[in-house]
This record gives sequence, C-alpha cells and structure tokens, in this order.
Amino acid sequence: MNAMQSSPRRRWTNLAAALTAVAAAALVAGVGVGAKTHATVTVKVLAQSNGQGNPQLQAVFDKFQATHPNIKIEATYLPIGETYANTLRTQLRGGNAPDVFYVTPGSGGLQSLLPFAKAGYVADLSRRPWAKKIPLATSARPLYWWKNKLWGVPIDVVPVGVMYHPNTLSSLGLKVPSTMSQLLSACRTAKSKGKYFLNVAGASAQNAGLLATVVAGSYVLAKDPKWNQKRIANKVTFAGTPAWRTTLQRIVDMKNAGCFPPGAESNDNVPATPGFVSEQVVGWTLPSSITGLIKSFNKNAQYNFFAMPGDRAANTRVFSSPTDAFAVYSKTKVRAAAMKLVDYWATPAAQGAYGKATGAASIYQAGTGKHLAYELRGLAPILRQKSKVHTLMQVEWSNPAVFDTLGKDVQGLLTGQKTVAATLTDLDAAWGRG
Amino acid sequence: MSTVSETTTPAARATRRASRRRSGRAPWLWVVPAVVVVLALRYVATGAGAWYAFTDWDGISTHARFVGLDNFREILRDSASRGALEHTLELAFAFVVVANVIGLALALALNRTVKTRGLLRALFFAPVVMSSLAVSYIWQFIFSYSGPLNGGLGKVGLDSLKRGWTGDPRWALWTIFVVLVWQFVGLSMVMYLAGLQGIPEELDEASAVDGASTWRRFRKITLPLLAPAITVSVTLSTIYGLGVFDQVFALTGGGPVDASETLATQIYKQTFAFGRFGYGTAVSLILTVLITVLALAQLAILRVRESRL
Repeated sequence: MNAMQSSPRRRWTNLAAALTAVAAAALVAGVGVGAKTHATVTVKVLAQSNGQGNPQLQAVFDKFQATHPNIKIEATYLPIGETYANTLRTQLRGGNAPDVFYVTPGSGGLQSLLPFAKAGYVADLSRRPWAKKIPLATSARPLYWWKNKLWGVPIDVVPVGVMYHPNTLSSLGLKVPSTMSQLLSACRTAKSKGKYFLNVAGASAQNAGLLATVVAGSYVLAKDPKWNQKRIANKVTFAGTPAWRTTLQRIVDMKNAGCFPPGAESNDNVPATPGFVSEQVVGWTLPSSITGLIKSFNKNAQYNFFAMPGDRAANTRVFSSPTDAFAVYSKTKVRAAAMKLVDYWATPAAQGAYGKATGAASIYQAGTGKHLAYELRGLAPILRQKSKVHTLMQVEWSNPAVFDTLGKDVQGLLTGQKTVAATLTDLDAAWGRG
Repeated sequence: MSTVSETTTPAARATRRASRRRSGRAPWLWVVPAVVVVLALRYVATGAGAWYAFTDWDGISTHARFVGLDNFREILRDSASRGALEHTLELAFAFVVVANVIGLALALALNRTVKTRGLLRALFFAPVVMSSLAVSYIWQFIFSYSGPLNGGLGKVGLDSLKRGWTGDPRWALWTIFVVLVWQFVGLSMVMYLAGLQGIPEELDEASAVDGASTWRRFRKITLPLLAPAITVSVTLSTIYGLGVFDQVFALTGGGPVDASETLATQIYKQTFAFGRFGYGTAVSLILTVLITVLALAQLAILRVRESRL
C-alpha cells in the first residue's frame, strides 16, 4: 500500500482538517464582518463659522460622537456668505460634497435648501422618525418641504430683534420704546447725551437689509401677514405697497433723528462692532444666534433684546424662524451615519444645547417663550403670541439679489443716493430677475 | 583642400540642407506638447467657459438654457453694469497716469544722487510685496470715520471735512485709487529705475557740458531712452488698473450703491453672490475683450513712438 494512498481513517482526518480550516476561515471572516460593523465611519460635515470655527456646533458634534463611538465627525467651518456658498456649490457640482452640510431654508440665499433639493443634491428626510413630529411652524413648512418631501432638519429657531445694553439705556434715562415715535425720540435723547441709539453696518448689505426687514415686520406684515405669499404670486409689488414705502421712510426718519453713529453708512460689520460692544451705541438689529459671539467681545456687558416697534405698539412684530438647518448629500456613501447625525440634531437635547450656547432657541421651546437664553428675556412675551411672530421675510424671496438690493439701497438711503421710491422700484426689478 | 572640396560637392550641400531642415524642425517638435497643453488648459478651457455667457446657468442646475445675446443686452440696459464699466475705465485711466508719473519721479529721484537711495527704494517697493487684501483692510481703517485720517483733519481744525470716506459716494472710488497708486508706484519705480540704469551717464554729462538745462536733458535724452521702460510700465499698469478687484472688494465692496463698482467686482457679485453664472461670464467676456484691446492698442502705439524716439 502506497503510503500516499488514503485510508478511510485518513480521509476522515483530511475532511475534518478541511472543515476545521473552513470553520476557522468563516470565523475569521465572521470576526472581519463584526469588525467592519464596529469600524469607525467618518461623516464629513461642512458648516458655517462664526469667527474662528464654530465652537457651539462643534460641542454638539462632540456630544454626538460620545454617544456614537463608531461615527467620527470631520467638520469644516467656513465663513457664512459667498465663501461658504461657493465652496459648497463647487463641491456639489464636482460630486465630492460633504455628507452633511449647513443650509438656510427656502430659496432666498445662495446656500438655500430648496434650489439644492430641486437640483437633486440633497436627500429626502421625510421618512425619518422625527420628520412629521418636529414642531415646524406652518409658515416655515414651505421652506423645508417641497413636493411633499422634507429636505433638511432645522437645528434652531433664531429670533431677530434689537440687541441692546439695558444698563446704558437706563443710564440715559430711557425705556425700551414701544412705538416708532418713542424710538425716534430715544434717538434724539441719546444723541444729546453723546451716545447713539441704533447701530447699523451700512456697508454690509446683510445688516442694512436686516434692519429694513425688521422694520417691515411691524409695518408690512402687521398690515398684511400674507404679503410674502402675495408677492410670490405676483399679486402685490414693493412699489405698490404703502407699508413698504412707510418702512423705508422710517429708516430715513431714523437717520434724520440721529439714531445712527456718524460713518455708519460706510461701516461693515467688523468696524461697526467696537462702537456697540463698548456701549457707545445702545442697540443693534441682529439675529439672536450671534449673541454668543457679541458677548465674547465684552464679557462685562449686559444684553437684552427688544422687538422693533411699529407706529402703534399693537403693530409690533418679531421674526423668529428656523433659519439654520442641515441637509444630507443625496450621493453620500455613509448614508446611515449621516442620517443618524441629522436624527440627533432633531432631538430637543441637541437643539437645546446649541440654542443655549448661541443665543438662539430650540425649535421645541421657541413658541413657548420659556427656557430661552437669558439675553432673549425681552422678546419672551411677544414670542408667545403666535400671531405676532413671523418667519424672516427674505428667506422666501425669489432670489438672493432682492435682499442684496434692499441692503444696498438702505445704504443709499443713508448716503442720500437713493430715494424711497427708487428703492422700491429697484426691489421689484431685482425680484423679476429671479 | 580636400575638406574644402568635400564641403562644396552637391551631395554635401544637400546633406547640409537636410540637416538644417531637420534642426529647424526639431525645436517645433519639442514645443508642440507645451503648446498643446497651454492651448487646451488656457485657451480651449476659457473658450468653452465663454459659452456660458450665452446661457442662463445658475451654478447648480444640471442644465443651462441657451439665451443667445440676452445677457449682453441686459448688461447694456443695467445701470449698475454700465456704471461698473465707466468706473473701471475712469479708475484705470487715472491710475495709469498718476502711478506712472509718480513712479518715474521716484525713479529719477532715487537713481543716483541720494545717499540713502537703497533704503528708500526698499521702502517704496515694500507695498508691492504686501497682500492687496491686507493693505486694503489697513486703508479701510485709515479711511473709517474714527480712523487716523479724520483724526488728523480734526486736529488741524478741519472737522467739516470728516466723513466715512469709503461710504461717501463722491469719494469711494478715489479711496480705491489712492490705495492702488500707493501699492503700485513701487513697481513702476523699479521698472523705470531699470530703464534709467541702462542710459549711459556720459550722454547726460556731455549734454550738460554743452549747456543743456535739466528739463531739456530729461526731454531729449532720458525720456527717449526710457521709452521701452515706459511701454512696459504703462502696459502693465493698464492691465492691473482694468482688472482691479481686491482693493475694491476690501475697501468699499463696490458701494455705496454701486458708486465704486468695477467690472471685476460685478463679475464676482453676479456670479458668486447672486448665482448668475451666465450673466457673470458675459461681463467677464466684456472685461477680457476690453483689457486685450486696450492693452494691445496701447502697446502698438507705444512701440511706434519708441521707434520714432
């Protein structure tokens, strides 16, 4: 018998060895599969920076990572505005977009959500468990939903008002104005005492435009809460709306009453900041989400907010809208992890922590007027009155040029280059370019 | 002798001709890859990009609609774009004249006589190597209402002149002009200095001995011999002046209300701020044609003058 011939015993031994090898290989593969399941997945995020990075957003990402050890967040922060929007747009077009990215709702900005959704760049979120439960205001719904699909997760609600120094206000013997005439009178008083009542970064179309829309809230929307929808349907125009004429006239009135510090028309946001944080200027129209940053410049200063009044106290309106959001890239390769991240952002815990850090409010708390940042205490009463709270007007506008034109022409009202009538005509012309 | 006879035979001549043809052809063969790369990456890509000028592409849509000459018609109708064209030409013209006059004056002053000329040349040239954006932000502070310019005016009793210079429609464009000139004169000075260094000192000395005045020597000797430097400096400053962006962007952003808008800032705003890539490309085509035509025309005129001098 050949030594190499297989005896039955030997064959069994070989089979056993083979089975053992297969089992071992399977085991190894099994371990491999297991390891893959627990391997770290990296989710790339692109978000807006506020100064140096965005520590408030990063803190929430850190908390998410602590509870999801197999997901690593690789966040890049870029200054909001053209830099951010163009980087994102280039990446989207190039097919190498971040898995999750910051957007603003609606369609009025360069990084607005709905044009991205229409171009097929963002993933549908309407099947997420929170999609139908998240308390999105009815007026804000069209900014996130398109074709019955939800395209982004709101991460906060940002009230907008006049941020002011309560101690400086008292030291001037003034109270929070509840009508426009009181505000104009306060401007004259402050100026007579060597201070200025209102700041504006006239060279920043964003800030000058924000001042105009905040005033418009208490004039245009107080008169016709559905004005935006009518403008979208081309049933009204800026030039044909008397309340818009009054809005812009009130800005001219503010200038004539000496509300703004000298040189305000030439200041961008950065040069406009020292005057405000050093309390030389009492108030500044700002989104509350910037509170954390403003506080960091002068930690001793106290802040509060008031709503920009209309001609009558009853007309006063405030903007409070979910203007910050995240969207998921439609072609992401880490869809499950990206979805987990947006799911996390939809929780009250994440939104509460973020709102507390920035000065914005959680979408779950904004309408209650409770648990707001301390600096928002002045806005709490009006935030509880749903009929007086609106979504920021410009996010619904047809294209970014409309708001830019508004900001630019407000600067023109301050320099005397523009009249109210010319501004209204420019706005309608810019709308038509959308 | 045999060598001479060899080189003069018809066969040898034919060989030499063939060799010359080969050697004449060889450099072109070597150049072809580089030319192809340059054509493909620069001219073909730019030409392909120019197609967007005839579309309404918004920068994110997958489809761009052909709109013919609509974008160009809108540019002609739009007061902001027309204003930007006017400002561009106004700024470039003033900049070319003033920057070259000051640059030449500095070069003449620092050419030979001044003892500390090395230090002064370095000081005048320093702004050239600085970042345009950084320089502009510093000047923005100088021009701000609470800045040193207004501070100085206040100290000499000229409070009535105090203003936010970059926010004043009458002055905004000229604040940009000041920064442009301040930053460019150093480069202009260096180009003229290089030209001056090439002029033989003896010519100037001989004419001085013959009794020619300083002005006459400058007009009849220095200026003609400086013609090539003038051509280079004027052409470069024209291109620089027409394409100015950084200084406008940082100082005024084109404002107030388009008072300092230039074609370059219009391109940026329309393309990147408003997402109107088609329109922005149309404006950039106009700027490209403008720079090319003006620079070439200027170059041709200056070359003719050079040959006459």
